[in-house]
Amino acid sequence: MLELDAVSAGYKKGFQALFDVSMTVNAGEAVAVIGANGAGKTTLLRVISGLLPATRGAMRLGGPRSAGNASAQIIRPALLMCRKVALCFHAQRSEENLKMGAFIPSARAHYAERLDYVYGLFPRLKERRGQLAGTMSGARAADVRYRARADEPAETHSSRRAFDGVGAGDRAAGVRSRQADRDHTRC
Amino acid sequence: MGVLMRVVDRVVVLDHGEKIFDGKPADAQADKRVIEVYLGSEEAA
Repeated sequence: MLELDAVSAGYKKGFQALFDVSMTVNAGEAVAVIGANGAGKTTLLRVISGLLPATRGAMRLGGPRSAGNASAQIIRPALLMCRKVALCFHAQRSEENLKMGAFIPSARAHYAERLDYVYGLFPRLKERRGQLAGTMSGARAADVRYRARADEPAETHSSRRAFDGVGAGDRAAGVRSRQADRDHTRC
Repeated sequence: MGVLMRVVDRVVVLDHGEKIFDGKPADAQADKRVIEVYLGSEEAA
């Protein structure tokens, strides 16, 4: 579960972009954050994913957690910000992209096992493990974004789905279930 | 927009850095403020 309590945030020169925003995302729930340009959607997601420290308020993900934590600490309980554009390292092969998901030390230990799991979900990726990510279709690139998060226990998948929903903004594909992903891969 | 409203459980609407709505997609689409700031006002009708 993700919980924000009266979070404010802003940028340089005293520009405040968020004012006391409170919200909750329950495990397994898909929540869309919408708003006009400049409403604060990106700022909110930057705070949630730890890219921008909150100036006030508190945030909890799964357990006690402040809004000021660094990105690497927030990754551990399985929270990632995914842009609606398929975000891959184009000049890297798809398997190298997957390996990036196991970047943090605690994840590296389980890399091989998790890679098998991801290939089980997306068999096409295994066939194309050596292909440059930039030359793949959007659908395959989206599969690559499910990086080999090696430290992530299976129980947290549902909560990550919810956060994908937050991160994906107005993109329906961001809240696909894993089963839907498998179906999608077969297409 | 229609697709989004079908796939999410809940919608949070921001306006100028403040949360102005938090609830079910169907209620968001019927909310006056949400319509005004996001969906676009059609008051001329």
